[in-house]
Amino acid sequence: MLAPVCLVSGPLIWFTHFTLLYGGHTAFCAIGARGIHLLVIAATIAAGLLLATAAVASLRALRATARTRELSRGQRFQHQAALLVAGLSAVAVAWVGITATVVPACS
Amino acid sequence: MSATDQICKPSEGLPNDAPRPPGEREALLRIWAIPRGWRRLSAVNNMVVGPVYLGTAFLFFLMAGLLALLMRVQLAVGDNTFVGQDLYNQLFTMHGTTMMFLFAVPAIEALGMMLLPQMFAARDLPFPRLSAFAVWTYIIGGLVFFSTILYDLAPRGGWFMYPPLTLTEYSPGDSADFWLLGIGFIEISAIAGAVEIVIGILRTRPPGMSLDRMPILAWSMLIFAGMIIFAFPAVILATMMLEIERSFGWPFFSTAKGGDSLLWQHLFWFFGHPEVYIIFLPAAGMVSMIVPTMARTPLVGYRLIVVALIATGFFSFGLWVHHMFTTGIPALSLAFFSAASMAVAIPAGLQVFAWIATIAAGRERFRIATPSLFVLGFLFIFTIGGLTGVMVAVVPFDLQVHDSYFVVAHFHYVLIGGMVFPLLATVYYWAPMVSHRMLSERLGRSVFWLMFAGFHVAFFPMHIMGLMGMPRRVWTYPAGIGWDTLNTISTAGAFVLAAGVVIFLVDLALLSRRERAPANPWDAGTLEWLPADVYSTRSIPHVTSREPLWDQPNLVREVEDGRHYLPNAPTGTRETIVTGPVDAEPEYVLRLTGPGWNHVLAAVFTAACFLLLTVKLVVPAAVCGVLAIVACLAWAWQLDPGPEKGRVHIGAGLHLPSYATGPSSHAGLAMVVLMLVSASLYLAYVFSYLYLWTVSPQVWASGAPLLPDLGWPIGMTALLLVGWGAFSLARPALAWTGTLRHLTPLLSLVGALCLVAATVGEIASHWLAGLRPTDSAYGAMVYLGSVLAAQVMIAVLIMAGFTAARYFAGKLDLGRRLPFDSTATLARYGVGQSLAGLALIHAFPRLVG
Repeated sequence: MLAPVCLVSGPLIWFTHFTLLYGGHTAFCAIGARGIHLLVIAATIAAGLLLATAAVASLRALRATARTRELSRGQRFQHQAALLVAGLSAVAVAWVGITATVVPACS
Repeated sequence: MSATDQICKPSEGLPNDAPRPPGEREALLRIWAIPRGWRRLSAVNNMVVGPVYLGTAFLFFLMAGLLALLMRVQLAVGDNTFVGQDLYNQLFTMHGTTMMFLFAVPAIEALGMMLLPQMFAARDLPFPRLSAFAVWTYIIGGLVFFSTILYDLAPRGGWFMYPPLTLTEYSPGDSADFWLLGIGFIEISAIAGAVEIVIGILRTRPPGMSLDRMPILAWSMLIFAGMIIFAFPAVILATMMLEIERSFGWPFFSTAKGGDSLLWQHLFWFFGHPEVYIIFLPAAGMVSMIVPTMARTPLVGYRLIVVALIATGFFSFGLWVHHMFTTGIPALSLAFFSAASMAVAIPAGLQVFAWIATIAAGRERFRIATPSLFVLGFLFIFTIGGLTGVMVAVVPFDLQVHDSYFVVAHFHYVLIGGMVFPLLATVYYWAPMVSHRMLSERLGRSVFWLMFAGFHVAFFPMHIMGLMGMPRRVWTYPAGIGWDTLNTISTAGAFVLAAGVVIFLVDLALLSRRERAPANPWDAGTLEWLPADVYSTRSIPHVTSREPLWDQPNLVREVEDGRHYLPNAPTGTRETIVTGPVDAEPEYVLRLTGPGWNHVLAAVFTAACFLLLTVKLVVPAAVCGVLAIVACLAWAWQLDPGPEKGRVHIGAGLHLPSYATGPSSHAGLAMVVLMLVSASLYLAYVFSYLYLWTVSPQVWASGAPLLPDLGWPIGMTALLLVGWGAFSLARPALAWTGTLRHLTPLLSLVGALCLVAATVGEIASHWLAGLRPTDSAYGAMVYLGSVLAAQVMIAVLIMAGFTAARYFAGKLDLGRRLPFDSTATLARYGVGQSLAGLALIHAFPRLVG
């Protein structure tokens, strides 16, 4: 994965997850549909998996460069930062997603 | 070791030999000379424009502060009649608006313009006239806007201007229009500044300054500018919609016709909450520069701070509804935003702990001087503001204190603590860099203690007032209900705070009388403390660490001796080195624009156009609009110098091109940033469309039968694709020989006309189908989509005409095609946006029935 994309992939996944939850909840309530809690849980698991994938991609790039030094200094930094950003994003995704287990929908 | 380190290993010698040939420094002085007398208005050097920008922002701070004192006098005792209710409404509206739009964001951008080129030892930022344009529009527009308070014309709707209060029915006259048009176009100035900052940070760093060696202030400025690019378009769209509703009756916010006043709150706070972080993050960046210097040790947790900045920048976009907890939004949605509001405390906390750790890790005792006092004051005040922020992020608590003085206390702790204190630390810290003189330590300490004490006396009681039930924005209250004493204390505190500001002014006024300070009085490690002149540093250093002045002990002498990069002016014009965005390897030499008048005229006419519109003088406004476009075109005519200077030597055997075009050039990157702004604006529109559909689906149901026949969108799609194809063919046509080459301007014009025709056709299709924008929120949204498309397409048409003129003037060919590349890029974006718009307008209502 390109290093600059990697750097913001965590927050982008968080933002997509957040938009999906808020937009989905609003739309579900508008049309009177049920099952928003399932959507929240599914989206949160999906976002978690995507974040894990992004983190693994950065980790692999860093391990590979430890052997071959194919990445430049700036790119290595981007991957290191991307790992940490993905971790913070995971906390935020989980924190937002967990609300669906305690708060009722459309009320 | 970075790629650039491999180009020039410091151990193997420096990029250039010494002594340098005679006359180099004189040539630099001549080329970078600042115009004198009244011609100084045409200057574009960052160290001229930046201080003017900062000075104007500070002037607005003083004036808005004065309004605050008037409010505090009014509230000092119950049943006071010092000012009337109507004037009080104007005072709080102008105070908030001025502090947020005319002081905070401009002050940060001004610091970016001043400090970034010095931190990068760049000769200037990449678009000096754009910076100057942004400054002049801001100064003219800001002063006219602020003066409305003197003529009883100031807006009265609060700094967030909520409808329905600000609709024509409840706010007749022009006062709300001054806010909508005045602030709307000042936001354009902020975006221009943000474009400059983004490209400056990504492309004008010195060789060797890879991303991990970038000063934290540059990181925070990058995030700040990125946030402006994504946040400001939402409020620009909102101001457009409210102004259109006030002027033409398109019912975006009128419930009776399917609009919703809450839409304004969504759009406003989608900008408004990130705005807090837009202000705070650069201030935190400044603190991250001052703390290591005062602690005499590198910043602890550099990576973590970068991560915190990125995360805060993103997370802040998920908090806007926490200003709307009491508006009846479903509980689960509130929970999402409440959770996000708490999550953002983690990266903010990371930074606080990193600063504390740096202070603790210092090799010597933390140096206590005026800048460090303001930093410590910031840490204390901002932490309290952050904690009350977590409190109001809790929905049940917010329901109790919403619109009370508790919230006033909270956001003043965040904004004054998080921005004003770091700003004053910055002024005391960096004053010697700008003026070569130090502000008084004795007066500085007085300023700090008066402001620190005055601030707490003024604002801490407001927490209690809020908990006692005192609402915001009330012009008076009955005496004897228990609020008098706290209000009197608060007013006294406000005057103590103001006394601190007055002493600061005295200190500034005495600055020119002080003795010259050493070049690096704080013994800091970053490049802005290198000796500099109007041309910035004598040569552009090769950087091998985050604190080059600490780790490269001979750097000052080497740079002064011209032994690093570009010690001369090989093209004979203003120039700087453009480096790669990640590893800062030298790529090409950018020839910069010098002083001029076109950007000044463009700013004057742009401001005049908007302000005349405010008072409904449509014809003079249109004339000024046309003159502004003419001035912009005259300005743009000088922007593509062409490759005739060839490659130039900058040192270390590097011969770089003196010209670049295409998507990877600084101009290409600027176009990408501009398209991100447009895309953000359009996404805000899509959100608004879908939001109003969820609120008033019955309006969409009644609107759907008015949808034009499917042949219309299919025809428009065909026109858009033909336009795309014309621009795609125009580029290779430049390589053709003979008269075939003339196809380039012809195809560009044909392509642009197709795009304009598609937009006109889209409007006509709805009109012929019987839909009117004043009928319903649905009709208004449909036509607004076309308005947004028309903005882009008309810009493409003007640029295509400009490209054709360049071609026939012999200034456009295969190797020199910057205007064409920019036009084609914008045209492709326009096609993409219009296709998305056609799908939304024609397919969505059919799909949802």
